[in-house]
Amino acid sequence: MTRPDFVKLTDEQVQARKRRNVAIALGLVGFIVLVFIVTVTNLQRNTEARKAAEAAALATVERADPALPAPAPVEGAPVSEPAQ
Amino acid sequence: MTDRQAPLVTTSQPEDFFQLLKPRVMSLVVFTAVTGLVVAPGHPNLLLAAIAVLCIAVGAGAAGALNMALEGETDALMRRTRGRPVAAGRVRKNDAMAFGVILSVFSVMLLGMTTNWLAGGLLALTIVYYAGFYTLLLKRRTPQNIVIGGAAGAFPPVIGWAAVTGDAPWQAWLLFLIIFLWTPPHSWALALYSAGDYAKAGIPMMPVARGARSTRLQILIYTLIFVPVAIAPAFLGLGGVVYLAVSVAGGLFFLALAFRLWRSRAGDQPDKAEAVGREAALYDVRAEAKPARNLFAFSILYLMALFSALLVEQLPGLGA
Repeated sequence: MTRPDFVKLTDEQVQARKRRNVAIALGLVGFIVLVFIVTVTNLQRNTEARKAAEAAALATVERADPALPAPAPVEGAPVSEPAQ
Repeated sequence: MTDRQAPLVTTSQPEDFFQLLKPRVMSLVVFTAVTGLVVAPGHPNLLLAAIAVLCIAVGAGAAGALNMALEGETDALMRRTRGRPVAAGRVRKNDAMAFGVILSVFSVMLLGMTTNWLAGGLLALTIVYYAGFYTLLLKRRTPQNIVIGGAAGAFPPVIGWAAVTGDAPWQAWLLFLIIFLWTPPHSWALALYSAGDYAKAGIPMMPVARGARSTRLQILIYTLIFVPVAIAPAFLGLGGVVYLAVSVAGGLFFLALAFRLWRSRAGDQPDKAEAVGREAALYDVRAEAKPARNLFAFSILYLMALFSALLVEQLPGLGA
């Protein structure tokens, strides 16, 4: 049984491969970090937008029917002025 | 054994892959994209805007890598491009191709996720337009290659604008038009004193296909169309007084250089047989080709000045 032929890398090739591997690793880590940042930031913005939309909807209902009990204030939402 | 297996291994360095991204072109792309992003109405999240610019830069770089992978053999024939990684044999063609494809996919996906899919789609269109339509189809088929292909370089401000607003109104396309009309005089001025290289590589650039005289006339005609378009933002609410001053002064000088080039004999003689290096090949030219070199150099400065003026006017107190 013969031993399989493996490529014997020169020192220069090994060094170049190491440097490429480090660059790929850094690139991948960078990409993961970017995706994480984008996800968290978009999540935060969407949550804020939804809160604002809910607050606006509640304010509309309140104006339409004054007999309804006042809705509980939503954290972070703009406070609507009572109708005169 | 070594000879048979030699192609299996490579000594490519990370710097060689960075060179595939055409850093110089990328810097101009980043600059125009940032301008589109800043000039567009709205206040984008700064972090997301920075990531969007990074995506546009990487996408443009990916298109450059694909271009170099596809053009390696041609690049090796020209002084200006023979030092490029694929042409010089430092990076294998398939590696450059894989690098370009991977970066294209990642940059488009991330831009779409970060901003919106119009911006992502425009970036994808730019990459396909440049690497596929221009490099593979146009470049070797028509002397109008640079006119039609110039659209690829004109997309970044539209992408930047779309990244903020989610749409691409006429103001964004006006920025597109400025770069689109700037490209022929800029590229043909360079081609006038590099025609020998293009002929050797079999690329039908205008001076090779139609001759230097016709090219000089077409440069003048395009300049006459380009300069009013470059000034137009000042009258359409996109630019203010600073932009008006820069665009008019620079535009008149651009016209003067184009007129001088038209009257010169630039490109009539074959370009220098050997230049000392890539940098020298760009700027070290025969005396009669100097009007072409001057226009080439000033065209870069003028475009940068136009977009800088738009950026400066966004500073507080200088609004258009």
